[in-house]
Amino acid sequence: MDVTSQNFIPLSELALDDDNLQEALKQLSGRLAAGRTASVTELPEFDQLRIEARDIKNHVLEHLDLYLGAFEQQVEKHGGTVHWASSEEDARQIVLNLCRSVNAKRVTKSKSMVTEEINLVPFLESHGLETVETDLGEYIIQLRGEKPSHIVVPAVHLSKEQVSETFFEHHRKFGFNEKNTDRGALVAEARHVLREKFVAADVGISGANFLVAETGTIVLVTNEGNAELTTALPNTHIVVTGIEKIVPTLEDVSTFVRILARSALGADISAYTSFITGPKRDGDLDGPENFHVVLVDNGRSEMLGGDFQDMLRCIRCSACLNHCPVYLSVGGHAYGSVYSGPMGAVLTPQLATLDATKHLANASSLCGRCESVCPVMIPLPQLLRQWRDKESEQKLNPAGMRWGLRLWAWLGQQPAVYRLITSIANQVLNRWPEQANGFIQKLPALAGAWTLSRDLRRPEQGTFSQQYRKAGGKRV
Amino acid sequence: MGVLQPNTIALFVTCLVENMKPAVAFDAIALLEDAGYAVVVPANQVCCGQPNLNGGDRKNAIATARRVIDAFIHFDYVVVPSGSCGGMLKHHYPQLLAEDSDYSGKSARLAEKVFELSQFLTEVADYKPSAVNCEPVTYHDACAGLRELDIQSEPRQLLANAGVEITELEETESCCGFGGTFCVKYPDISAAMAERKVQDVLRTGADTLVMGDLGCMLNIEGKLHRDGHSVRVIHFAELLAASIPAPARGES
Amino acid sequence: MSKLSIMAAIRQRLHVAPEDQTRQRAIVSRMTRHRANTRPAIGVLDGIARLEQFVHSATRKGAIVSQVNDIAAAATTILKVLPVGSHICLTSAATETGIKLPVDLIEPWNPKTSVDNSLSTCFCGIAESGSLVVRSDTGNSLSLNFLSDRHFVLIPERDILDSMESVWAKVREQGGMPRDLTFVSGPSSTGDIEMRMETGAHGPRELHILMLAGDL
Repeated sequence: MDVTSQNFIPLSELALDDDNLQEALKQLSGRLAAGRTASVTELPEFDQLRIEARDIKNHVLEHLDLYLGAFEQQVEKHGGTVHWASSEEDARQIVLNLCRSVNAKRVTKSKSMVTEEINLVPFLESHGLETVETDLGEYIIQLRGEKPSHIVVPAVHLSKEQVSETFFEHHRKFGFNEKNTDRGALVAEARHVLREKFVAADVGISGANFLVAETGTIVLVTNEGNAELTTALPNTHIVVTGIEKIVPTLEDVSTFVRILARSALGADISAYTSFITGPKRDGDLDGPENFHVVLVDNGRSEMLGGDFQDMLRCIRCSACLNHCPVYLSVGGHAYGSVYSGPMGAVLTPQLATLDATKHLANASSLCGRCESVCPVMIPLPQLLRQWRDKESEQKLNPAGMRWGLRLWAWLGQQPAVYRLITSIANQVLNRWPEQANGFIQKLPALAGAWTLSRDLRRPEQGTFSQQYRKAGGKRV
Repeated sequence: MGVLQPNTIALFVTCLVENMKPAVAFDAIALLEDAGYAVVVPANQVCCGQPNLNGGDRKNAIATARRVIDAFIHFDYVVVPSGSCGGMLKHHYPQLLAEDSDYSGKSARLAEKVFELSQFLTEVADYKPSAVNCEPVTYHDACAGLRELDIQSEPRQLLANAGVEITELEETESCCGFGGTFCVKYPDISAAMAERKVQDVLRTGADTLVMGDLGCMLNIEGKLHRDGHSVRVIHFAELLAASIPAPARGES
Repeated sequence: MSKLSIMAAIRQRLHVAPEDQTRQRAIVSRMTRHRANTRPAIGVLDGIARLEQFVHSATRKGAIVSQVNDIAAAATTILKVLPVGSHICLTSAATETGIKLPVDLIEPWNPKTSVDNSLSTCFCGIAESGSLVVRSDTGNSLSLNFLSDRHFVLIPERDILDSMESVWAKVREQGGMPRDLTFVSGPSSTGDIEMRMETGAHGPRELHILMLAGDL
């Protein structure tokens, strides 16, 4: 996967100074996080559902080969075809070949994070296929040539003025000669333009929120209705999905449907939940003649049986993003990956390289809010720590830090030395020149980063050990 | 060592209290003694190992854990005036030592005896603090204590018993931006988080901010002070111990 | 070949052998048992409580719900809502209900054609989530559900089931999953611009649910 995560620090600086983005992130937190809380509070069974969802996913992962085989069998029974892509190159090529096999010229696409991950759309376009994103947020960023900044609301970083400019630039050729600034009008404009695309498409490409092994069904969760128009109107429907999206039965997928929209948006269910099983059948009035499912590995199987297996439970709801203080400070583009926030910090190093992405697991206070809202109970802070462990093992973090920690641990084994050093430090800080009213204003080196934006209270005179001894405290 | 009285608490001081604000430890001792317990301070304690665990140095975190376990396992209770260090001993040590044939059992036994201060005072001691006379305060829940030890109602219960009114923050579950070395490795993001916390504190109108963790305290207090605000920031042990009558601090 | 290498990779990471029959039996058992997981209290209601849950849940997501006695009353309701001069497209299943609407208002259905108003029936409803369940077969064009600006749906009260699990039971009774089965739980909407909800993103701007006390 292509990433620009090595630029996390400069990108996050830019983000912190971007007033538009900061306002957008405030809206995101205010609406989605608050929405989730309300939605979850009104369902007393929610925590039980989370536990069951976690257990279903764990069961599936332990039997992933078999469930994938069963799913394939069912898809083929209903007249569809399953393709297996080990790498992102394989996946792109399979999709291109399928489009070519039906002489496709025009493609519509509903939202799919996997297709972002494998960079499918630019690839298809470079081979002469007009490929239009139909999810409104994805459509907007496609016009602007940007990457998504959120896994559910990809254009969240934009203001309506920015959207208005973009539409005005690109929609004139469709007869829209005036700039619309009203949100409703902008949506109506996109609806009109995209309606033509839906109807003219030869191929519709979708992702899948879930795959049901029992029936060979793919599940699409949207609010807009674009997934249905993308998949029902063209003659060919191609599903591009990760191998970990599978659940055993319709009953099992019901549990996930219950927790997904609540976790993502604070609604009990999305406007449309589609269960698609194979191509058009006799008696159907519409639907595609050709139905293909491309199962993408691209690093997922490598996570099985290892330290990061729990991450495969992720259902891409975005709850962790919406509650993460780091994501809410810098937005998604700073992560340099289509996957951002806590889930992106854990998944991106796996799909790209640890060297390029080493900031992501470190730029976290490990506050644990992500884990507390994850509908499938992924221990995200633990997984972030594991990446930090791997960075140390591979010496990707600064040597100074590794040595500092070693020294600290050594001091921990030498209490007398520790107390000597800390009593000296205590004296030094108490006599520190740059201070006022008991607060130090400037510190050197790494500690200088503290005093960039805050003061440090001067320590009390004497450490606890010194004061306790002086007061005659009993030591054991 | 001599024979310990029953119900003896070993105090795990924590690095930040040791080095920056010993008053918190003295006030913790005062509260625990007022609750009827004897408190001793094991001499050879240093750090719980959290910087190593969070810094990709699991191996040394484990070595530190073994040492802390050895130093504290013989006591009836281990009380910690910090949710994050308490969480380290109670929540992380058993995970770190799960594969250690010798220490996995010991870490579980220690975990049973470890309590963060407010949890000990409410759940074990059923302590009713003396009344404290002060204006309404606001309260910051430290993340580690909240997530790892489920500390939320306990400090509030103690404050309520002491007659202290709390004007809650709008966002009681948002991180203040400390996060150990996070605040110096990603200082601008940390500052943005601290700024949001500061604004939330100011909106409550309270002139005292109470919490149970030194890391958060130094962070939020430092930001408040840099920005020119006069909100007093204290550990709940300091607030509650203020109304304990004699004996004087530090004497056993 | 990619399938073989992916399967081999999975088995190697899980330390399992392809011939392991215990695992195979475990998954077959799970996939045939169809055991329901926990259903929330709002998903196991009966009688009036079930209908109230349906109305409450559908309404809060923006559907406009009318409870009518019979098909004639449904027609009256539709005519009240239809703007003067507009046309309505009926699915064949809707036509078969015998609903009487002025002939000059009715336009025929053409595939891939957008219409202002449409009327269809549905497979059933789900009280828990206030959803209508529409299928690609049974005389209703699936795409028509999405190509009209204003969508009317007829549903007898007795077809409102308590939860998704009951839908699956009914589906299995009737021969299994169709090509497309969709839960429609409100009009089309998007929050993609500045996180504010707008309706009519691609599907209908308005969803009118006509609950019939009697049968169709």
